[in-house]
Amino acid sequence: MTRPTADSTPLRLDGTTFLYPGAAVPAVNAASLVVAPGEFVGLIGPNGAGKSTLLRLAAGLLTPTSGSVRTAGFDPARSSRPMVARTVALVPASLAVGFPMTVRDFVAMGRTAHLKGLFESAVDRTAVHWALETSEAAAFADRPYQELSAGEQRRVLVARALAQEPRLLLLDEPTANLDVAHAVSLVYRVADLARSQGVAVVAAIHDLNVALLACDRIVLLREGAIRAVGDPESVMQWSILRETFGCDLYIGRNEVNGRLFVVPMGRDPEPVTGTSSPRRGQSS
Amino acid sequence: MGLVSRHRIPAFFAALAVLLVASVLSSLALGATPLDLLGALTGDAASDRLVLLRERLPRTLLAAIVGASLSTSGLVFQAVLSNPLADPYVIGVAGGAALGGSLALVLPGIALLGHAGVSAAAFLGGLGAVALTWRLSRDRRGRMRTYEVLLVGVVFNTIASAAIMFLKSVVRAEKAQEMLLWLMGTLSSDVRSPGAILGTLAVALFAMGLLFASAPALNALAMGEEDAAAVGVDPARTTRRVFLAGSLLVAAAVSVAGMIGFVGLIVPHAVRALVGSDHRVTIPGSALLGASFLVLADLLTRLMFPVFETEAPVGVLTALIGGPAFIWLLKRGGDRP
Repeated sequence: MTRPTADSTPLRLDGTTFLYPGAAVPAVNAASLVVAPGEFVGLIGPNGAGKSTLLRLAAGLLTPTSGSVRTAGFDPARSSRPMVARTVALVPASLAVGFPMTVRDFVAMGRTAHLKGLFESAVDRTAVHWALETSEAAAFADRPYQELSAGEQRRVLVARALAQEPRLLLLDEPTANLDVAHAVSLVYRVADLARSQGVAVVAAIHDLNVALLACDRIVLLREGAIRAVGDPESVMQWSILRETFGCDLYIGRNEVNGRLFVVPMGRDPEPVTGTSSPRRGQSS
Repeated sequence: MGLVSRHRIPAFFAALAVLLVASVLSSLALGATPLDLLGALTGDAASDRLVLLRERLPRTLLAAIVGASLSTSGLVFQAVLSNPLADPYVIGVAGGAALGGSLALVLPGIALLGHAGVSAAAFLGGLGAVALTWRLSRDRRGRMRTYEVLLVGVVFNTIASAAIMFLKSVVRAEKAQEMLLWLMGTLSSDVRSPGAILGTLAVALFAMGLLFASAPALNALAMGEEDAAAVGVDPARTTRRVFLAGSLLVAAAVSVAGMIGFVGLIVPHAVRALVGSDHRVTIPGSALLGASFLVLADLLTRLMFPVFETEAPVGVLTALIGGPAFIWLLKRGGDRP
């Protein structure tokens, strides 16, 4: 296999910095990252670390203050919206819709940039059907989006992104509000999609165990900067997580499948992992 | 998502088409005095033919064009402003057109041109107001800020209405009465030249075509600007295009018929209650239903002529019928804008 040329790299961040207007510190600070086709990258980090901002930069919804963003070779913030939408899809953290709309109509919005005329063609309908099936939203395709639970809405948002048939899929907290079975199922389905179709996936994930399940690489953000990048085993280290999240965690290895798992430690006075852990209660 | 299920949408359009044809035929045949439609067409009834061609046909055509224009512009303004109370007159274009038309009615120079001059002045006034709103409500990156569009529109309309009141207070009584009738909205003015009607029709068709082509983008905008952008819609460009096309419709409608109220508010709500919020359906649906509504309302004013011995302005009638109908729709809860 030849290395993809620079032009076909799904996502390339180079010193990307973004400062919200009026903010004192950048939300994303000199982030550099290259994501290859078929790769599943998990973004982890505490609240306000810049995960969502990074995703919106990659989707071209924000223009970097300095540095650059390239998706498949073009600048997503300065390219035509339909072209960007055929390459990059973003699953937002949540979404309320002003007008009543069925799930199927909602997912069909993902075809907007593919429409040849005003109405969906057979190709578009097939893509919508596939997207609904893949994100396990087909069962409620004809119900109003507004009446779904938060977890069901999340799956519909994923379906809308899949209907775009993107080469880069960006997910902001895809498993928040999902029950454990649907969370695991969704992450595996997205991972399968990445491997079988070469879609690059970048997902901001709060649940460290979900991130450990499916990610090829973990990017750890703190205060807008990338603090660690690597395979899950190399990033999910006690000292790194302890410093980033400011909270004590127990990292163990699952005896059944040999994978790492992370458990937050309550107010247990004794450090469980490592020896240099500071006293509990000092962290916020 | 409306009362009409998806697979009955073609039947819905067929019903609207039948309604429009029936309204137009009734409007041609009926009035203060009924006329022999068949005889007028074949030429057997010469005086009826004159009434049909000189009076009823132009008037009915105007009613249909104005009704369709107001309904469509109301629909899209409600969508881009995310405000169910928006109507064609919320943005400044209405005030501008009203002021332009009023000036033309009272200024001696323009009055020489007759009603074509009033229409032209109103249309220009409307376009001027669009340009002004546009300049005042965009940010540094050229995007329209919709809440400022509303604010500027409301303020501008207030200024325009104050200016019109001033004009009314200084002109002769019969001029003031003429202005009042025109402002209330009427289809009985003397805009009857084929040129004026075809011009209005051309502007309306162009603007409605532009809006229909923007229907998928408008649908995506219902998800909010950021998500619309994420699925490939340029929100700024869509908003701009929709505002301009909607403003053209309002300017054209006001310039030939004054400020006919309520059509542009209630028809879009009725259509959404019936067929949901897909603009690919609601834009042509509002145009068809709006056309029928105003043709029938105008017919009613003419039928009432023998009773009151004067023609009530159609704008008054649409508000009198539209108001209660709107509240009834609201209470039915069919529409959640």
